[in-house]
Amino acid sequence: MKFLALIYSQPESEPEYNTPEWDEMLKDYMAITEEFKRDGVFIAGEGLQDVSTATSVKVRVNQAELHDGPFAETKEQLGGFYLLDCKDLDQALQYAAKIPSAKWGTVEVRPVAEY
Amino acid sequence: MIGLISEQLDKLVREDRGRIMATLMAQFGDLDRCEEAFQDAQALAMRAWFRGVPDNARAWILTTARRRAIDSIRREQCFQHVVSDLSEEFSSELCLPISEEELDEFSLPDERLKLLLICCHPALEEKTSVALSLRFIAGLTTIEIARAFLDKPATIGQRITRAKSKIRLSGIRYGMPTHEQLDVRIAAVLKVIYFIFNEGYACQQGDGQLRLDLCEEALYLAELVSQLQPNNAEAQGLLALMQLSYARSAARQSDEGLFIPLELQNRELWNGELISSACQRLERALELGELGPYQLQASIGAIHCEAKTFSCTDWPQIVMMYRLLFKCQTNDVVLLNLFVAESYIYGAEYGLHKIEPLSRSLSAYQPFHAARAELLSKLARFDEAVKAYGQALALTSVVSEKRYLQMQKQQVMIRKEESKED
Repeated sequence: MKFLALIYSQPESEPEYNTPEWDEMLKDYMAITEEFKRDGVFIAGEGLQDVSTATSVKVRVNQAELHDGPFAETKEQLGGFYLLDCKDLDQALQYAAKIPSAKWGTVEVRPVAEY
Repeated sequence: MIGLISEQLDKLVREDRGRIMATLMAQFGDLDRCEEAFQDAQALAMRAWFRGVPDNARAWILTTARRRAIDSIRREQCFQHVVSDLSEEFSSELCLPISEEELDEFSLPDERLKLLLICCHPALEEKTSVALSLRFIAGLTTIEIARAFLDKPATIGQRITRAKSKIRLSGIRYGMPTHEQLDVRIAAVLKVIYFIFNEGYACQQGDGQLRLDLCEEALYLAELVSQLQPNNAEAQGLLALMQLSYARSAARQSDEGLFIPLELQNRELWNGELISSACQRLERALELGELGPYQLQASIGAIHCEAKTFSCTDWPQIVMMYRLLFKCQTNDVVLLNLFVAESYIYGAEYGLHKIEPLSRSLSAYQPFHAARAELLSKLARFDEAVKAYGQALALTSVVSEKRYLQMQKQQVMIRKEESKED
């Protein structure tokens, strides 16, 4: 069963770029990605550029309307994701709890709909 | 005849709902499908049993429910053009009627624990877990659950519907969790079990009977959890707590079905054997060195049980336990109990003064108004006491409780008249 772990956090609570804490976080992310791969649950996982780089698109009356910014202005911003293959929600939640950002942000776990 | 059949069917469903649901879940793993099949089976029973209830009524219901579940899988598979070997296997087995022996084999206790674990999954809101367990294991109606929650039946109904869909879609698996996950899952289960117990202990049907079957269901489940988790201090504490309450249930109600408060109970009617085994269990739990709310509440129960008469009650010790409990469970109901216990040491005036600030948060909590009424009546503030009993009465639908409160109210009115004559 596939689960998407959406990683949300407030930019101000994240480690600052080019600090030892930042390096630590990067190292933790690399280690956890390795663990996910080793356990055979990793399908995909990426970090995203800052929310200030977001462009939102919607099509109305056959016209693409662009909006400079994210879909929703929220304090906690989507910063990355993992797509995991787990046997059940319990296992997915266990892995989600190991994602470094869960310590200062929130990881939302959603099963992928099967059609 | 129809009325009689429906009555017998209701009784059967109430008693065996948890077992039947757990058995269906073990086979089909989908709460929604199982419940629908179970309901269909009941509707079919009403039509098929017009000549009378068959001897193997439970097996009849289970077999029919299974067939309905298979039918619903087939319909979906037709729709999806998917063929499953599993369904073939089921269908051949389902052509044969099942015996009572087979049914007993299916109702192994761990199946019910699994059903309980799925209802109490930590990914569900706790209130949802309580509602699911009461509905699927205890067999309560949405209306009964709503009353226990001080909530609207429609709200609870929606909550259950949402939960079933979340369980179905979110990847919550029906089965035993791993050992390390079991600890977290058990804590959630304990809360739900205690809730079920309280429902059985406090809730009385119109005929004035204590709902002891629910208490026994909760005790049974707690015993099961306690066997699986012998070193879980709170699991032992909860079982001790419930046993200590249950041991006193015979004294809680008069022959006329009137509720009898602790103060007036005939302590001879308490089950001494159960009390002493619960106390031993509690002591072993306390030795594990992980104090928690259930052990503290059990300790309060044990202190009450140790007192030969109400006037011998060790209130200072009880107050101390409630203070510790408030540290674990910061809520106004605990405070209310603490202040009432303190009023036995410092007087009714003090107690009333302490509980007044809780009037807003506990305005819909019947015991708050009953406690306030009692304190007011002790202080001879009769008019206010009558009004407070009225508020308490408006909040209870339990017959024996209503009659008790009415009697108390009348006594206050009599005392008021007497005080005028003096």
